[in-house]
Order: sequence, then structure tokens, then C-alpha cells
Amino acid sequence: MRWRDRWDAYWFAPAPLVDLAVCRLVVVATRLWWLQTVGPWRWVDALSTFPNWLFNPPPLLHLLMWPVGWHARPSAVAVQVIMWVVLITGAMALIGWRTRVTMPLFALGNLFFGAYKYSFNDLHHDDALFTIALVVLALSPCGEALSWDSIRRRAMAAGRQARWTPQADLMTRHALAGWPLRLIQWMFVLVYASAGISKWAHGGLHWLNGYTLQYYLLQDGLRWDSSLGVWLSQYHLLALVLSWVTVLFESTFVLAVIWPRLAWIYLPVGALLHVGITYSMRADFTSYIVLYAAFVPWHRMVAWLAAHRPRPAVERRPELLFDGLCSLCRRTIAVLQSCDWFGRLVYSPLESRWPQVTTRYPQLTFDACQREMHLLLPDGTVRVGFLAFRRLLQEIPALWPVLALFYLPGASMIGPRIYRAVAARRPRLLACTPQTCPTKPGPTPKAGSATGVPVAADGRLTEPGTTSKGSSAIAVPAGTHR
Amino acid sequence: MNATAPASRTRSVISLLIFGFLGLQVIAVVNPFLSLYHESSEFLWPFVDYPMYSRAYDKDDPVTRYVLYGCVLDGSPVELTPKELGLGFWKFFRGPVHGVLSEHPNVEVLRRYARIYEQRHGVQLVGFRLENHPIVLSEHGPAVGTPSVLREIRWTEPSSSEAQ
Repeated sequence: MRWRDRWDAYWFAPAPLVDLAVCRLVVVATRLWWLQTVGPWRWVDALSTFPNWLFNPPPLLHLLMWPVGWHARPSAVAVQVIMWVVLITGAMALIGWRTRVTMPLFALGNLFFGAYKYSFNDLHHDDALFTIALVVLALSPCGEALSWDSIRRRAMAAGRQARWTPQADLMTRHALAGWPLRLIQWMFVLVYASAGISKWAHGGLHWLNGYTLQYYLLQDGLRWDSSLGVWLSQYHLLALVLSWVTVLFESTFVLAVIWPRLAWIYLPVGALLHVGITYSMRADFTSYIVLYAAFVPWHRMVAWLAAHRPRPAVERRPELLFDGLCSLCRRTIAVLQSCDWFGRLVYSPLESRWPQVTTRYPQLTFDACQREMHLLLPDGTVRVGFLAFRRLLQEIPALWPVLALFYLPGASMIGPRIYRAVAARRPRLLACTPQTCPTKPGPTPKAGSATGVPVAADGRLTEPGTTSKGSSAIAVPAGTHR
Repeated sequence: MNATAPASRTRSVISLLIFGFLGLQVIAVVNPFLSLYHESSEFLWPFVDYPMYSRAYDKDDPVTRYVLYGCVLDGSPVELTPKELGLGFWKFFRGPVHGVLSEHPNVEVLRRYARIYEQRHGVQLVGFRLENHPIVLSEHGPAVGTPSVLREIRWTEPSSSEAQ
């Protein structure tokens, strides 16, 4: 294999988009939290009062300021405005709204803050790697999954289709989804190697004598008022062991990238070291622990959770009957499916499921099912319209934050009216009756798949109950039909 | 989305990006040893080296603690802390403390720091004195060692300066 092919095979092998998306969520959320709590709000006013002779920006800030002048110093107002832009674009990038624009803006804003902050003779190393990771993510398709963009795209695609077809799931692989995470991993290797090489070059084996770490623990413990650091500095054997662990960890971290299984050893050790250093020496590198997200195979976790989470078999899951010929309904279902990561619901287009449904639920009419979505619950009850929507939200954890809205006082009264008003005005592709509707089942992905879109294949449902007129719930008389 | 291979041009551009990121970080790591560019870590920020805590120490090596004093006209010293000058610890350490310790102290820069103090406190300074108040790790825990003067720099008039 040519070197070029090997390069492509390593960096451009299709990888699950969900890994990249989770990394985006974790990194952006952490950065937003940092901006809100310990970020520029704290120091921007103080820095703006510093005299110009203390202002010694790195080339990056010159570059960013170039449109207004190579040597220009950002004013306090400009920094405040940029801060708001960064916060807003960060919030958008977090939910994945216009990610291709908001992520680069967010990353650029963070570059600006870092370069500005370090223009005053006060360099810190803790957020350099984090800033680089943000830029790398901004250049990647990190908004292609777990984002508003991806949900909207799926909904639009579902709306354009002639009839309902289940769409791709969380496990979609993308040829450009792997390189950003691998690059962040290699940046970690270089950063840790830098720390390790410095120790070998300046201290050599002498650095591992235990006294060196005792010295630093005492120095930083006193300097930053850490009683833990001062206390630890008095235990030579402990310092000796920790010295070896630290240097071995930093010098051999590359193994965790070459053999990813070793990451399960290296990452916990790294996390413990960073937490320990933060509390004993007040050198806060805990942001690195967040960046370890780039090493975690999140897709396997999702698959594992989906497989191990107590989930009823297909026939015991709520089944949502919807009008598959209505583009609005298909879009809505596409949104629901995007959020239903664990396949808690069965989505059935009415046209293909009607024969089975009418056998099991003779009390239901095709017209009624076409007018409003019906949720067939495992216990035999049926929810209709607004109440069906409210009930199905309970099954989708990702949508729980909006569930409260559906239980606000008066929601049960106003909700059904709004639902019916929207349902009555939705455009349909074509008129369809039980006689004219196509009844062939549509494409059916593997039912019960851990990550696929679960569509009932066998049509087994609970048996019919009695309909109570005027109510949106249809109850099965207790003790019958079981 | 699909998993088809990206276009050759896309691959080339991203490959260049990868080379660029890794290359810059490698340069930042080896710069202190090869002096490829500016001596300061900030130069390529956010691509920086990580040389912290790299010096080795022996048993009983005292922990250095710098204490900076400003010399007042009447000869009395006033302790200058980061807070007194409105600077954080590292700005203070890399500013006046490093300035006094430097092989060739830039008195004009040091006087700028002195002026910050003078404006805040209305006291004129004629020099800086840097002392080391070491901490020794004894069997009974940390103990203060004997202080020593590391360097004293004085200037007499704004127009003339001398380093001692």
C-alpha cells in the first residue's frame, strides 16, 4: 500500500458522526460554562486598564486585528461586543444551529480571547489545547449529528419524499468524521510529550528522585495556598511513585493513540493526575479531561445503552400511527425519530398498517386516524392527537425538557384545539381512503435494532377496547382480552 | 450523509491542515532546544511548549520565595505585592521580578512598574530590592529559612539610571 493510501486510510476512514457530535457538545458546553464563570467577564475590564507598554500581543492577535490595523489594541467595548458574539454563537453551536457558521465564529472568538489575554505577559498553558480543539472541530462536520441542523435536514428530506421511509440513524458514518478526533488525539500526544521531554532534558533521571516533586508540591502549595499540596510534599515515597507515574504517563501517551484499547488505562490515569495537580498545585488542567471525549467511542456506548437499557420488545412498545401521505406529519415523525435514540417507539404510516390496525382495533376509523395521530399503547389504550403527542414525549428522554410545557395549567384544554387546528390545515400529498390507499408495507428496517429506526414488522398489537365518545383516550376494560 | 470517500481536493486540503497543526505544535515543542524562533512561548500561541516543573531538585533544596521591595527616598523599604501593583501573580513574576533578576536589567521598564506604585500610593521609589525568603521542608513541616538579598537596583533621577 502506498504511503498516500495509508495516510487516507488512517485519517479518512469512515467514522461514526455521533462520536464527533458528542465531542462538539462536550467541548462547546464546557467552553460556554468557562466563558460564563471564569472567562473574560472576570479579567477583561482589568486588562483594558493596563498601560500600552504592558501590551505585547502574540502574532495571532496582530493577525486577528489586521483589518483595523496590525498594531491596533482592541478597545474594551470591542472586547465586550466580541464576548457577546462568542456567547451567542457558542449557544447556537451547542444546539447545532447553522453549525458550519456558528462553530467557526465561536472558535475564532476563543482564539481572540486567548491571544488577547496572553498579550500582557501572563501565559497559561491550560487552555491552549482546548482552543486548538475548538478550531479543529469548527473545521469538521461536527454539526452533522445531534444537532438542530441534522434534525431539520432529516425533516426536510422526509417532507420531500412521496411517502414515509425511515431515515438514517445515529450510527451514520462519514469519511470526514474521523480526522478531527484523531488530530486532537495526536495533539495530546505532542503536548504530553513536550512536558515529558522537558523533564528528561532539564532534569533527566534526577527528576524522578521524588524530592523534585516534593519541591514543586511545597512551592505551589505555599504559593497558591493549597494545604493539600503542602501536606503531600511531606511524603517522599508518595512523591517518588507519583514522579514515575507522571513521567511515564507523559512520555508514553502515544501508546494510547497507537493502541486505542490502552486509552482505557491512560485516560483514567490522566484524569486522576490532572485532578490531583489541580487540587494540590492549583494548576488547573481539568479541561484536558473534557477533551478526552475525543478518545471515547461514543457510538459504542450508545449501542450498548440501547442494547442494555430495559426496552420492551417491538410488540410491547407504543406504536405511533400517523398519516404517511402528509408532509408535515412525516417531518414531525422525522424529528421525533431523530430524538428517539434508543428506539422507544414504533412509527407506523397509516396507509401501510391500516389492515392490521383495523383488525386489532375495529373501533378506530381510517378517517379519524388520518385526522389526528394515534398512539397505540401496550396496555391497549389509545391516545389521540395532542394527548398522543404528550404521551409519546414521555418515551423520548431527549425531549423531556419540553414535556413540562405540555403539562402547564390549561395545556389540556388549549393543546387539543391547537393540534386540531394545525391538523385540519396541513397540506396532504393526495386524498386517500381505505379503499384507495396503498396498503403494501413500506420499507422496514430491522425491528428492534439497537440503533436503527424500529418499525413493527409483525403487526402484533394489543387487542381492541371500547371507545369512549368525546375522550381522546380509548380504554381497554380491565381484565378483558388478555 | 454517507460514508463515501471525500473528493481528492478535500482530502488534500484537510491533509494540509493536519500537517499544519501537527507541524506547528512540533515546532513549538522543539523550539526551546533548537531556538527556531522567538524565545517566548507566546509567539506561536496557541501552539506552545510545556516546560513547567522540569527542573530537578535534591533533598533539602530550599523552595525559593521571591519578595520584592521598593526603596523609598528615605531609605526605608516597602514590600511590593502583585496586588499593590494591580497585577496578577504571573504578570508580577514575569514583570518586575524577572526584570530585576535579568542579566541586563532594563531600568526604564522597571521604573514603569515603580510608577504604577507611585501613582497608587503617592510614594516615590528610588529602586527595587529583590530578596529570597526560602522555605525548607523539615521533619516538622515547612520552615522559613534565612532571607538573602538577590539584587538591588537603584535609580536616582528620572533622567539618569544606574544598575548595581
